[in-house]
Amino acid sequence: MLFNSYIFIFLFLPLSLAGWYALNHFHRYRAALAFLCAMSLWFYGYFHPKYLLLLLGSIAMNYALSSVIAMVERRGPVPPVLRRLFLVLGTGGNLAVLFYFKYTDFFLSTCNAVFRTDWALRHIMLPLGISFFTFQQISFIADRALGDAPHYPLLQYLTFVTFFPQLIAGPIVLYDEMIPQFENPENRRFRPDSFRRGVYLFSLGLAKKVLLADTLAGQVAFGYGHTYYLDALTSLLVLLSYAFELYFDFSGYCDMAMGIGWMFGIALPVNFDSPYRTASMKEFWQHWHITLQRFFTRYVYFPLGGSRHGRLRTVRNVLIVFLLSGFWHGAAWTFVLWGLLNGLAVVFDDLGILTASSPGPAAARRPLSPGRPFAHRRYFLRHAPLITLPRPAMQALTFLFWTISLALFRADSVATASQMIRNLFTRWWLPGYLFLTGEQFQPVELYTVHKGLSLFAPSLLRPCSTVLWILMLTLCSYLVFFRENSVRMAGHCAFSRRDAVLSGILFCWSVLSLSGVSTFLYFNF
Amino acid sequence: MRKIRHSNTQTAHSAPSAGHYLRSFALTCAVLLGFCALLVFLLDPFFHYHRPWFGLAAVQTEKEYQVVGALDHLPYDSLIVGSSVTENNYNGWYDEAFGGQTIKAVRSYGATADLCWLLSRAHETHRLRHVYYNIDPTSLYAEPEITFAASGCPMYLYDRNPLNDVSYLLNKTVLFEEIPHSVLMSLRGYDENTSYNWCASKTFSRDAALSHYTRSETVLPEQSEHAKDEELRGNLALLTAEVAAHPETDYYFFFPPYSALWWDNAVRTGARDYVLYDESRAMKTLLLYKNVRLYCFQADTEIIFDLDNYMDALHFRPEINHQMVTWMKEGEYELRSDADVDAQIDALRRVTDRAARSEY
Repeated sequence: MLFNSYIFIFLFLPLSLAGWYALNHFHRYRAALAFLCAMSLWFYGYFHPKYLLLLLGSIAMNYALSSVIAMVERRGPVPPVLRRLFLVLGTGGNLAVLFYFKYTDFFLSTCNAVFRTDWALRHIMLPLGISFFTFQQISFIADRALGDAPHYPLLQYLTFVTFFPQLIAGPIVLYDEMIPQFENPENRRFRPDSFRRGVYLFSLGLAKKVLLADTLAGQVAFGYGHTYYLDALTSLLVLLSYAFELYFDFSGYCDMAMGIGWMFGIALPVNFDSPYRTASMKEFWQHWHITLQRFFTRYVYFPLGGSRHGRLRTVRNVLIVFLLSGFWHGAAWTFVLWGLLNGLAVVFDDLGILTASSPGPAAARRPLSPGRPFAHRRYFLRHAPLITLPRPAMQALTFLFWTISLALFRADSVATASQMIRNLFTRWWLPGYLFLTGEQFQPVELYTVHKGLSLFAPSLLRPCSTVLWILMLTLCSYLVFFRENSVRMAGHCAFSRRDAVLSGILFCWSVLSLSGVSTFLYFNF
Repeated sequence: MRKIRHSNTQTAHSAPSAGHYLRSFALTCAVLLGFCALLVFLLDPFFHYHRPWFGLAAVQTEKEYQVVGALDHLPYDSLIVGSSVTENNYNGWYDEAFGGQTIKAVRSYGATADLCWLLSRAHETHRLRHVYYNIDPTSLYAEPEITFAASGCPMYLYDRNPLNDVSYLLNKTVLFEEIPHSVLMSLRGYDENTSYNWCASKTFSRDAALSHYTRSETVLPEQSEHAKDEELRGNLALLTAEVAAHPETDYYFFFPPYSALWWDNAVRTGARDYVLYDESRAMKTLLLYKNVRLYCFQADTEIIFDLDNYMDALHFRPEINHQMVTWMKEGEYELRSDADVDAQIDALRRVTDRAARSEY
């Protein structure tokens, strides 16, 4: 089930909230947790019931290991060797499951390419959210093995892993920030303020997803389907469209997750904090998919030594983190290269060659969540930066780098990605595929305008669509560069009647956008 | 003291209670969504609830979305049933030739199971006089399974579950595109006989037909004529069950004239024998029923070898559709006995030989 579906909005969510608060109202706390778990399993199983077995199996495996550790702990101090064994078993087991479902075909196809073997690909269907719930459990079992995490009752652990707002697309939550919240009786009480903030944030997130991201998806799909025909300007617009689509899609989904969490009285960690307003790639990665970076920092970067063992090892550790991050995002070499490219950009940022004139407002703010990576600013080559540019210029450069790097993230092959990037620097003729790509931008809200144009001024149809597309990108730019992000908006909102009406309109507009009329492409009949 | 009270009042105004926000939010949503749902219900461009009201025409351009609603709610007593090759029919041709009021029940690819499902649906609400059923050769050996859900059709319009109607009632495309389209077309005098016609946007010519055809250089060995027996059995069972269940309805089954290119391809892919065998079996089986009349236009060499009649290997210009109605009315190309069927299959075999020998 997706947040942006009728069944979720009109049936699942109201039912879940009603059951949760009703049971808590009558002090049936364990029943409330059990109910929440059951609803979460329905939420997950709705996609593909058989993958419930995988989710439950994964939970059972981790919980069983935690129970074994608890049993050993009860007998006395656990030897470090045994703890290491538990650590290897726990993380290895989780990673093996993840590898099998996500990376088997990648591994086989790479072997086939390198060793000229002919192993048949398995075409294993990727279970939804496996990367998220696996990492969540790795965090728990790693800390549990090392004696840093307690053994929780099964129901609490089950709720921590399956809590549906974060189950399939994050944020990647940690046991020590979630389980205490479920246990706190204060959170079981209906709190109107938290609830209205949740409703407000959910509406904003839904709008970001279905009104902005999904609207830009058409251009992006068309552009990446015709990479070899695009001119420089069209390529740039397609790349920009994807940068906005990705941000609004993922952050919109996280906003919805956070909003739902607030409706339940549970705070989920912030995952995106205006990343496109950052002035370096290092700063960017402190604001983009924050919980993933937090995970890698805590469970990979620090154990590797972090920045405490000299510059070269720091560089190595940063690159390892970003390679893994790229690999986590997808089982393809494009993702690995994308991760490496971002890692190199972060390392470059640490050299002290180029930097922004001011740290920006974000740096002055209190961190939104603990454990941000690379918290200390140190330069590898110099004590002070060689070149200092005004912050807006660095923001533009950072955004441009990110946007171009996303060619690797979006393209289905390295060749397509490099063609897209090459277009920017070599294809300076116009209009190329500009108008043809622009023509794909036909929001259904403007159907009558498009129809009128196609009837009375057909030659204007493509230019007008292109202008609309560019206006849409301008609107997106305004929202991400000059407006507060939605989480902060929800935090500051006065919740006046005007806010209620506006968010209501936005919500309705989004709901109306959940369903469409597809074109059945049978000879275009 | 007064100042403090004033300040408190202001605070109360600037920070309204959570209930206040939630009530206003809920009211806004209820009003807006209620209005949209009511508008869709009243104008109902997919005929899901009723035939068109307010003098609007039954504008039919989205078959996957509209056929079922049309079968449920539009007035008719005869049906044109088939694949995309039937869509260019002008419904009034059938009304003139055979009487009655005809609409279309069409489905891309014309899978037998889908078409029989549509027929059953029509029989549930209407007493049918005539059914004009186009049999595509491929539909005889396709899987006898219903494909609506698998091909992504909007099942909320096909089932009778009111709960999932939300996908229709709160649908941006329906509101902003389908309703204005339906209203505008009605105002411009839409002719309901042209339902689902697509010929206006296509080019019928030898060049167009050949541009969609790649002739295989190799000729595969001919497959056994029994290669698709299982599928044929399933599809014939569906068809005959439909015919047997409604003796009061006259069924006019006809085989449309695909181009020589299509037959050339059948020969080169080794499919010709089982295609002809399946057709022969289907024809002989259908002739067992008294309420069936059977026509085969596939061996008309003047049509099928003149590629200017086609836009690809099988889709022909609307004049051919009209010609078929006229022939059916006049009894031309009608098959009345097994001997007629055998003669027709022999003729078809000669046609396919010629198609395979021809240069294009």
